Amino acid sequence: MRKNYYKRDYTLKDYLFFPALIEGLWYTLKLFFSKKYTIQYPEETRTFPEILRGFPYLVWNEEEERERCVACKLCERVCPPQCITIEPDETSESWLTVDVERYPKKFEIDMGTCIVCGFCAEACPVDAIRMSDAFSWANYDRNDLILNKNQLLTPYHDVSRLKGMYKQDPAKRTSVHDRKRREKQTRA
Amino acid sequence: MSEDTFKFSIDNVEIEGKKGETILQSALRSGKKFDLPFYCWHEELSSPAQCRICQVEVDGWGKLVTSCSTPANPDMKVSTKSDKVKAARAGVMELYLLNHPLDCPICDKGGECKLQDYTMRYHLKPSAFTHHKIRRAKHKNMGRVIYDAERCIVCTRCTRFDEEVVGDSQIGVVNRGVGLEIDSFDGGEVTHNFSGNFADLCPVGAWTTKDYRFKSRPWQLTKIDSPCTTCSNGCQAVYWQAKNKLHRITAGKNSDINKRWICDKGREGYHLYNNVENRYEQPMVRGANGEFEECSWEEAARIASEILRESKSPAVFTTNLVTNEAANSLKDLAKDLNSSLNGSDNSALLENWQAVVSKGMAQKGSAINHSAKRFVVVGLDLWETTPIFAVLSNKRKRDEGLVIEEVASLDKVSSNNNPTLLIIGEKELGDKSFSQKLDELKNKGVTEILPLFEGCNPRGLLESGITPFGSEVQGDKIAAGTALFLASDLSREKSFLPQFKQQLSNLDKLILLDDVSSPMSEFASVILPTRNFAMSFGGISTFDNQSQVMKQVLQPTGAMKSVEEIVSLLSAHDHKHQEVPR
Repeated sequence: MRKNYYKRDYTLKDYLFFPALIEGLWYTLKLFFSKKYTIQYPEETRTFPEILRGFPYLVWNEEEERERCVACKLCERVCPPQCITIEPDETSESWLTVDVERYPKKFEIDMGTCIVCGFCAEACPVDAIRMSDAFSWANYDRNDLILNKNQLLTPYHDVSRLKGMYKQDPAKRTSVHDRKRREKQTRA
Repeated sequence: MSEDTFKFSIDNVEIEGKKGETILQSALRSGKKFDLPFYCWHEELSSPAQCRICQVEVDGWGKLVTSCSTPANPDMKVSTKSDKVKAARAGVMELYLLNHPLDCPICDKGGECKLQDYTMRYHLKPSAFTHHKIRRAKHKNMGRVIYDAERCIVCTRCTRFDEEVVGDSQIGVVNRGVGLEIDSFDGGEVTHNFSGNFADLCPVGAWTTKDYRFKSRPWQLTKIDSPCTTCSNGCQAVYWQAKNKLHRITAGKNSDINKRWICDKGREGYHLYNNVENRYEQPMVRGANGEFEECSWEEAARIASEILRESKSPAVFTTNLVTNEAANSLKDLAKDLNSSLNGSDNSALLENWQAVVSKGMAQKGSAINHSAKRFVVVGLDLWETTPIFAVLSNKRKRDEGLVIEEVASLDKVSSNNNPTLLIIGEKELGDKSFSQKLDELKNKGVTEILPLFEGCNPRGLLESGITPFGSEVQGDKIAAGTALFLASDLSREKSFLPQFKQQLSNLDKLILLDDVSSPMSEFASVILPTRNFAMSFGGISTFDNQSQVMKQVLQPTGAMKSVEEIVSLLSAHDHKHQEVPR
């Protein structure tokens, strides 16, 4: 028979029982008055790193007043849980006035299915879909989580603005790729 | 091994070559996998050897040769993996990509583009081109297809197809040097019925069909090989479907029926099966107040067989858009009801055809490869009834000297010593005096007779002893009290005709087997939702009696049943007209 390593012989303290009880309660009382490290979420948050990857959103082209997306369906193909649905269509303008004649008539992302992997942003050839910094998504109905094109174009990443959330001003926030490109240009 | 075959090797793999066959043809015929790209070569067209991507190295020959146009020699040693070949291919790809626009995201060909595939395989280094690419006309309207001059690599497959196969050359190559483009000779649209084939032929996205423009990507579609159902030509087609809807039809391969081509009417014929909004969901019975009420299949089948049992002489009709199996089950149903399908019992057309068969003059074998030296077409326009047959026969006319005569009536058929194929329509075949004219026609040189009708499977019906559905045939047959009608787009079109409408309204009770609602439904007492033709599985016969298999391309929706299921349901309720001892 092996010696039982976890058992030691009972001492006087054990037979009395009361001292062990006091020891535990004293420890709890000590902690009651010590510094706490718990963050009171959602009133407080940790500072998030700049490369935080949130849910995807569509980019609006200011000059041409249309979405940048040309409905090539690459993001739909690469999306692992297949949560993107796209229906392409032809614009009514001629090829002489606009650069592209193809736009998405329907662009839906089911945020309940999205796994926030970022493959869609990586696959897009025209930088039309980017990852925002929105990570908390609660709703009463699953169907409300299926966002259509207009909802995806609205900058929802500015909505979840909390005090002390970022190291930088959220309004100035751009994708890491853009920032790095800008830095490269200023350096070169 | 006969005199004409010999052995040579590609990449140290021995394959068989035939006299006169090129390296590429032998390689493709062998069935083994070789790394042989090509843009301008097509098995049905001539080889101009102008794209230069198919170049290979032959042991002992200094320069690289094009495998699409170099005949194979015995004991040749061909290499597709040597450094010279790799460099040549990379060079050719670089030159093609120099001015090619960055259209892949918006180009319809993305995912099935030869330029994309060969770029990934053979393009060695990133482009060193720093200038602006040449801008040309994009999105040029050419009728049912669109031409994009920037994407075109001028392989001339389209112009050669127009010239060699269609014969009615409407496009050609214009300008010279870097300005080479394809354009129509009068600057207008391409008017013939085969322009959709340009989109199939084009290795890049220069030719695209308007029908499929910006619709979907090939990776989200499932391909099914099935024959086209628009006319009786029965061309092999490929149906592309996603989410139980058809997105497009492209040409399939069949060397005896349509080679690699399909006409535009057939290409756009899939819209018929996408009509989801008007589909019947449940069987419907006309209630006491005259309005339709939905009911279960058992109830509807019971009421329908009651109607059939109580009526004096129920007639059974089917249009030509039906598989052979379904038609035969309807024929059995009609026999049980003491009647016949499409009035085949006393049909002059069927008797005439039986006379033709008994004299051994029924057409057999492939019509486009037919051995006759002369075709006589009576009262029909082949370009309307069976376009692919017309275009391929015209090709034979130009290449081999086949004679094609068009006459207005049987009397005008001239005598000739050559074996002749007589092509007639239902008017001549339904004529009561036709069987007497057979000997006369035989003396004029007619060896075989080919009947042409409207619809998809009339020859299949004819061979099964059923009169095909046509305009003349139905005349007096539909005056019966009750009828069971398997409808399709043909009858729905005709239901607009006043004569047919009159005949339908004369009916007491009509049991309609259809999949979408149409003007015919107002005459019906019972509506039994039937699977449309894209959801059925069965055999059909082409106009020249070659068997094709219609594979199911769509799933049935709602409570649709197939024709055979409906017939067995009706039989289960004892619709038989005479008493059957149990």
